[in-house]
Amino acid sequence: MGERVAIIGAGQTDHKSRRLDVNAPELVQEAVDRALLDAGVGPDAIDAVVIGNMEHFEGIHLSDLYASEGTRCTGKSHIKVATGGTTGSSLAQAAYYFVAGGLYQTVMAVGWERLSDSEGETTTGIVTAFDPIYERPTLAGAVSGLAVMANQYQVRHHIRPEDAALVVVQARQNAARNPHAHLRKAVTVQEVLASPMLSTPIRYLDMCPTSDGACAVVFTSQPGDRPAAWCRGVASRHNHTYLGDCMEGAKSYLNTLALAAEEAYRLAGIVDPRREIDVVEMYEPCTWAALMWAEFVRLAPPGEGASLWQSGAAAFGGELPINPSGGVLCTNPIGATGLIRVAEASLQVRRRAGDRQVDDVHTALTTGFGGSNWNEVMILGDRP
Amino acid sequence: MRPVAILAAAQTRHVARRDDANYAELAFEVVRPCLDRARIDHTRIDTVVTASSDFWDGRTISDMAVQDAVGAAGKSASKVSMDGVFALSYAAARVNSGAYRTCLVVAHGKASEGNPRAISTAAFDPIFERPLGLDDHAALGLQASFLLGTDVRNGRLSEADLAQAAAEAWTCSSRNPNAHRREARTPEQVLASPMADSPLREDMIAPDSDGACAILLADEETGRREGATVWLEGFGAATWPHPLGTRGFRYGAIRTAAAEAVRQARLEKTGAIDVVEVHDASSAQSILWRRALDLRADVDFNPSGGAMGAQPGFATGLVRVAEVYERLARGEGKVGLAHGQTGFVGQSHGVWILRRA
Repeated sequence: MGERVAIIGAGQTDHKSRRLDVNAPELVQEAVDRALLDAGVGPDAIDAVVIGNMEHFEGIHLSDLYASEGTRCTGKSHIKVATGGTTGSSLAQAAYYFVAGGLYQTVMAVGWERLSDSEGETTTGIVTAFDPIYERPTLAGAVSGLAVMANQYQVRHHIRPEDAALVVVQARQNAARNPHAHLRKAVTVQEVLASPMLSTPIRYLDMCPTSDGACAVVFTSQPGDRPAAWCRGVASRHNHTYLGDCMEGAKSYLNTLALAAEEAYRLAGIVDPRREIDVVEMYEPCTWAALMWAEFVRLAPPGEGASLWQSGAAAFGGELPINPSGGVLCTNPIGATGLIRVAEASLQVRRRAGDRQVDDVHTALTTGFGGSNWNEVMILGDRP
Repeated sequence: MRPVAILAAAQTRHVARRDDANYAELAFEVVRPCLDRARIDHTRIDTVVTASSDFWDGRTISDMAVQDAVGAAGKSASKVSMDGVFALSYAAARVNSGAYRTCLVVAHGKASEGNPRAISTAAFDPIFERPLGLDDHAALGLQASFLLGTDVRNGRLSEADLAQAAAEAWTCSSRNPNAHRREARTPEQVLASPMADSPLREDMIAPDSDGACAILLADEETGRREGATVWLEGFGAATWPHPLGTRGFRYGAIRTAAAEAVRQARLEKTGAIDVVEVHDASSAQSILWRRALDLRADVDFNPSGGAMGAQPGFATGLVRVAEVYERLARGEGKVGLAHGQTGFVGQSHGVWILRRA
């Protein structure tokens, strides 16, 4: 078997819609310095860097190499991983495997994005992920595929738009306690329902923002006596290339989040996730996705995801807080977003989450979501 | 690192333009023979790591286009947005973690789909460097120009050296059925080719190719059971700073990367290496990397023609590993070194040591 892997440090920038005060290497350095400070180590302790970013959004080719000086690790091994929305969670998984496989003792995962560089045209970058002949003219983009899924879900289970709206209402309440979050202003269900329709049933306030930000997390097989969050279950599942094959109802459809979660639960020895998980940091690109994802990872029975938010269970102070950081609905620097989930969960497990610290956390669940329903899961715990 | 077995490798015939295949078809063209050669069916591939470039493919999340072709659906997969030699290190980490027994690595590059010079310009600093019109070839020219007349480990570099190294590469690749450049050239012919990026002439710069490469790895136990003869025993990588002015033009990070790979493989020195394949983007780099590695004088150097013979994007370095693997598997040497690079004039280097059991 491989080495056991622990997270000993996490840092992130102050995320905003435009960080005009820093360039990309400086943005990266802000997160890296905070992660190293949190870990209590210097750059000398880092053996390799796993860095990620989606270069179409900045319009910089080999953007990892452009930003490399910000990692304070030039001269060392450096691997770029870039997988779309999952980039951040893929970075965490890559750092995990490099340490678990014994190739390096200590690896820093670094994710970053400056979506303000795409001048409001983030979706233009995302459209190019899809087949130029069959998909770009119709279903391509960040919102449309999610809208089809939300429609299917809404019709099958008779979910009301206000059920979904409650997710962002609670997310904004959580973000108000997180000094790094991008959107921290409270919203009401009425405001969500009155916001412009993007693609039925997803309204403007149902959707995640685009942010500038970076995140860094230090993984090691030798944590010593530092407070550590141990990687107890790591899993990833891919879907098919074409959207028509990866939407529910298609013959070849794979529920990749459920498949990844079950694999991670098996590795972590979790039988009843609702009882055994103490806090969740999920990658919910829109409110409707949060309801579905909660069901796919078995936190609620099919069609009853909304009950977690309606009952207050998912709220800060509830029995199973979901996204106490405010989640993706409040902060979304794409190449960092999935890594922020892991960073936040590691802070919760290490009891360093400040005003957003959840009581008595032993086990945390994180998810990552990306292109063509690709899903990744990492479970952290306070013991190996 | 714990040794990782190579069960099989496959590459396309690399050419200037493949109008008959899209990215997925190009990838599938190497996946099928790789599995056939290993006599393994796709259900025994536990995980997949691909390497491709979003800018080169004109597709964000470029791995999405190949995920069915590489058999990733329903499995754990990831993508390295660098040369395949770096993807290979992630694959080695995955099998050595104990989570997977086998890992398929697939890299593709299709230069004909875009304008490689314009794409490479986008890799330079948007404020200080792009307005100068820098692209990958211009940077190679600057590197060669800087080195010309200077002492490059055991000798001053001359234009005749550049022509000689290019002619050797053309001659080697003319004998390689997979190479893009299939005709031999003399140093005189190289010197007669049009000036491209001074002092580099067209024949001194690696071509832009369409192609793909796949390598199937297995953990120690599976490798022994399958009778693997060639093993990955050491990997080193190093990245230098981005600005050309900060990092200089000499050896880049190749020496740091090679020293680490050699240490891991418990070789005493690079002189013990029998066969070497490097990613040389110009004939100046053929000389530079060869001298930087302190190789034996009679080493089999870039017998395939190297990247000067075919340069299919992020597959270029992985093809070097496949070439060394095939030679060692045929018994042509015992220890091999394969090198790949990402970033203009060698910002990031990865070096592998392979050994025949």
